[in-house]
Amino acid sequence: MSSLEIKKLHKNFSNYHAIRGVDLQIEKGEFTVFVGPSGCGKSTLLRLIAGLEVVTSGSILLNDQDITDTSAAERDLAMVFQSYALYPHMSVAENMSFALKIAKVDPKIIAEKVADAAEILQLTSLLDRKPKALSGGQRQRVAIGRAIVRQPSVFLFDEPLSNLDASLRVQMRQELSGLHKRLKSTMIYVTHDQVEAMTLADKVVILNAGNVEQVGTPLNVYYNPASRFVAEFIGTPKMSFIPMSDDIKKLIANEYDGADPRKLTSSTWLGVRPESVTLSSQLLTKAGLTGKVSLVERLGAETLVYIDYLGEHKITARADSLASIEAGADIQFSIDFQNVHGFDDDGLRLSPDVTDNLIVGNV
Amino acid sequence: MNSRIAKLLQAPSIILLFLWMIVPLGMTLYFSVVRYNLLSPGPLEFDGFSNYAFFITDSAFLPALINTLILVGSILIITVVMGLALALLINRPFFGRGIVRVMMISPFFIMPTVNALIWKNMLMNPVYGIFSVIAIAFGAEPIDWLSEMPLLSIIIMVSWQWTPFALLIFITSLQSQDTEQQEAAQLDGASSWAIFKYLTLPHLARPIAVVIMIQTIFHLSIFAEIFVTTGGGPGYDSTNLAFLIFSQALLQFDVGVASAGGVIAIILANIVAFFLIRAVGKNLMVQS
Ligand SMILES: Nc1ncnc2c1ncn2[C@@H]1O[C@H](COP(=O)(O)OP(=O)(O)O)[C@@H](O)[C@H]1O
Ligand SMILES: [Mg+2]
Repeated sequence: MSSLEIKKLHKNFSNYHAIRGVDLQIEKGEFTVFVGPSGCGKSTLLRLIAGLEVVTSGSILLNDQDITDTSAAERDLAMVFQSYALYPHMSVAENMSFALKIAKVDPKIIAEKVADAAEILQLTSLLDRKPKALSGGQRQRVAIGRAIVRQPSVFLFDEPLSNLDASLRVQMRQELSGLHKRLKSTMIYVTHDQVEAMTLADKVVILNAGNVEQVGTPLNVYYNPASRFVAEFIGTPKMSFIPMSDDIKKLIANEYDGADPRKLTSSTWLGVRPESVTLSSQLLTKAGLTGKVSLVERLGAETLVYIDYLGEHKITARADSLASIEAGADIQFSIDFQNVHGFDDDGLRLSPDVTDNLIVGNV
Repeated sequence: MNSRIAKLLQAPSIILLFLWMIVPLGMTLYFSVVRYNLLSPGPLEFDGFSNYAFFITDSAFLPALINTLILVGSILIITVVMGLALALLINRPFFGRGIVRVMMISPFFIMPTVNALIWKNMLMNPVYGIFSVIAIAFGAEPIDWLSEMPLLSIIIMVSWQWTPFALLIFITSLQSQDTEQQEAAQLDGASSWAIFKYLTLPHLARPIAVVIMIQTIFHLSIFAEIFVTTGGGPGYDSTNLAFLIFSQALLQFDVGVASAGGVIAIILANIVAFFLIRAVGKNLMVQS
């Protein structure tokens, strides 16, 4: 178990500033997830930690020791690549034992460790196969096994599940979570999939164009996104944004009897999650807003309703599985302003945190 | 129905290729068992295996056989090792790599005779060759390469010409090697040498096998370099089977004996290929 600290880290590729001053503290045994859209610098940050890219400026500390200039081979980190990067000429067992063989560990101990890891990952019957003869999920397991066998100080994962099909991805996600509970190792996991981030992480690090946008527990970033970027990125279906208008100001005034504890009226944009929108079939509520249904997606368990409000701004709402709503119809809805966030012109959140005691596992 | 049409349409080219191969082979086999000397015209009489006996018992046969094997073996080792080393050297991007690559590959495009003349006259000549000039500059005795070490001279010339071939094949293969595998190995603590040994070499197994096969076929019949430079001498010191056959056929005008030599060369090539394929297959292919 190890802690990792990153200080003022910058990375320039010849003409592109990929990492723009990242500061980060990762505690012992923590499962940290870097999440962000494609191209935001997640892999680059992970590769800088791994020692596969040269740091432009700043420093990386592993257990309070500066490893900024240490070679990848000497950092004692293990990485699972998106492409798995298995050694094609070696069997599963040889793949998993490669690092130990290089480190000249006693062959008996190697055999034991490989057997243990194979047991955990259900690879025992596949140990003699070559990577070519394995399915995607099995390859993934071998790549993880290769990391486990070494008992590294930190595990690094770069989008390890993105090449798997949807159902296998869910299964592997759960297995990874179980693995972390079992090994209690420090793990850093990169993904563009916010569901993986929400389900796996102790700590989520949201990256945007080479900057850290927010750090927090999954629920904290969900309930209290620091910016419009985070709010939009975390949560499915996405948060909807509606421009402030006089109508809405009136509704807010109604709701809070003229007060504005959530600083909504001074915001330019309101961020509304689907669960804060209530659809009503009758024209009766005083908090009513009117829109036109532009699209209905029936997912089985629930129905997603996309509403055009003021002509263009789409609001997403949830409805019952069998709700009788058709595209093209006018619809009445209300918004629960207790859980709405206000954002200013720069996309920063103005409204205070949603009540803290609701949120488990605060950082 | 379809496959019959396909077979029919393929037939002309297959028949042509078959004739292309079988006619010369048949004629060689035929000439090898008749008495056929251009200096004593007359009907071609069946002569049993006496041509073979004559060729094999010739005092030049054994040296030629040994020279052939030495040539093939040493040129293979030199070109594969040098090709591999150079390919690794220019695999990483650096300024001017394109030019360097073209320059390194260019010897392969020079005709063997021209290559031999360059080495003979410009480099290895004991009086005005560059090697002797250098030797004299350092106060050493210039070496008369072609008469003092004829076989080594041939090996150097042919290796110089064929290293680019190995280089070309290896560099293409190196370019297709997965970089993430190497990074994974780095993180696994592997040194550059370990990465070369456990990842790069197995990755190059097939290309190495291909280079060895193709070169063997060509080097069993090295001729132009010998013809242009040493003429097989001094004595039989640089005579290989191909050159011996040539000297039988065209210097002594004995087509029958030369044909017998040709058949022996074919048999030798097959034996060498058989063992090479097995050796290469065992050591390299197993891993892939
Ligand atoms: N070796 C490189 N040379 C130049 N630019 C690079 C290199 N690697 C990554 N980049 C750029 O840095 C940015 C971040 O890349 P990356 O970290 O791979 O993003 P992602 O978050 O999708 O993993 C991208 O815009 C990419 O084009
Ligand atoms: Mg990436």
